[in-house]
Amino acid sequence: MATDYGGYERQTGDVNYKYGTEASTNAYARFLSQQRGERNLGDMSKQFGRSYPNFKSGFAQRGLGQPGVRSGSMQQSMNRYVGDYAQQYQRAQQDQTLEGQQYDMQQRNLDQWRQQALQAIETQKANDIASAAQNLDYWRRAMGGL
Amino acid sequence: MAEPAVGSREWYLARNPNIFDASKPRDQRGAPVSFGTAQYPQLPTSGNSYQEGLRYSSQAPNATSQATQAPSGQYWWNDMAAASPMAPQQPLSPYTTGGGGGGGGGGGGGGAPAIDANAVYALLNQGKPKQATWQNLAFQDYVPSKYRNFDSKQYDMMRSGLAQAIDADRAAGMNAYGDLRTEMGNWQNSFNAPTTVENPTQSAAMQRMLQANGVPTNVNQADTNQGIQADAAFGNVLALLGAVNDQAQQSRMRAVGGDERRLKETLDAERRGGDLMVNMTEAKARELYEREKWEFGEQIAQQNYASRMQNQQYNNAGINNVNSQNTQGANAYNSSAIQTLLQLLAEGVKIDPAQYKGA
Repeated sequence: MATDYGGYERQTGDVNYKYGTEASTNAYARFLSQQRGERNLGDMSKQFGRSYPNFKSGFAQRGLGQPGVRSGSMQQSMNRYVGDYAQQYQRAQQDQTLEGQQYDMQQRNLDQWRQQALQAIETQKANDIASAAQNLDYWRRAMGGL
Repeated sequence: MAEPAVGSREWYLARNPNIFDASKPRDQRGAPVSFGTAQYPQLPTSGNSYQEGLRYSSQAPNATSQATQAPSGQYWWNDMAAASPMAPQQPLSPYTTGGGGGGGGGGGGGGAPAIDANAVYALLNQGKPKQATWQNLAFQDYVPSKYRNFDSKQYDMMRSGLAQAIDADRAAGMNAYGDLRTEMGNWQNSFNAPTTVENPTQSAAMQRMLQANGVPTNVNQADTNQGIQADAAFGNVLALLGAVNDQAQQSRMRAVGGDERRLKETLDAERRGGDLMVNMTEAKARELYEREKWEFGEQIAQQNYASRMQNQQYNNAGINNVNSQNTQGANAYNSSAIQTLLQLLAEGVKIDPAQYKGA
């Protein structure tokens, strides 16, 4: 009776199915993360753009922002204000990058798991075939009870 | 009418007028069963053929056509023997020579030839005892049994079948591992791929904005450095995982090689074990065959030899016995015939030497 190796094919199908679903989930999560990061960055820029005129006009009301006037306190505040924005924006970008790298890592782990799982199945199949090939009962039957 | 000469056919027929009478009892061969005591047959005068005598006898008054049933010459001697002894009517020495008218014999004569001593010697020599021959027993050569050689065909078939089966299973197993190696050859280290996402550098718009506000572009250098470090750390992690997985893959490939080698060694061991079993079985069968071949073959050879010797002994004894009996019978017959002849000669029967000399 020929050996049925359909079980290994089903295992392979299961692995590929699990890989497909998890890879899709990961890709979708990565997309959402990227979208959320872009949105946060956009919101941050929008908020900075809206607040920047008001912040700068405040110095003008106090006579510090007039042309020809060079106020050290205003410069310091502006440096802090713009610098903070730049820092927040950069950190938000880094957070988004890290999240993206996390998703990439997850994807690579999934790739590696899939390959290993398929290799394990192929190894079991090959060992099964080899074990069947060296089945001693078959020899004894074929050799008339020797 | 003159008296016929003694021994002539006239003399014989005169004395035995009814010897060929069909009314007389005869045996199945036509020979007279008995003769009257006074009717003794005598030697024919000429020739040794009894048929010729019958031809003369047909001229006798009492002779009939039934005389053709007369016996052959051999039975004439029997007739002589049956009629013997009888008293000679005219004594005549058998050694008498010379022409008719000789002594004692009823007057010779009539022109009949005188008896020749040489003819008598010739007759005696003819009837002398024969020597029985002996046939030696022919011993039979001992013929050992012929054996066919031990036929190892079945065992050769088993060894061949074992080799073929193991080769087939080896091919099947190796093909399976070959497929596995091909599949494993498609493996790619997913951690060795270049980093797809890295921390971005400061954008040009950000730089212009900072410059417009009199802020140095490297105001966040510490954060920038952290991003660079984070990218490097992530790259290191990938490289580490990639190296680990490379090692793992190599280990798996070595495991496949080990499985292949184990399969090969196992099949080799199976081959050796199978051959050993076949060889041992063949050795036992060959030993048994050799022993039985000698035992039964030798027994059959001895039986055949004894049977041939027994048959040969039986045939040899039979041949010698038959030869002895034949010789004794012939000698007895010759002795009786000679005695009768001598008696006839003593009675004065004339014998033509020309008829018997040298017979």
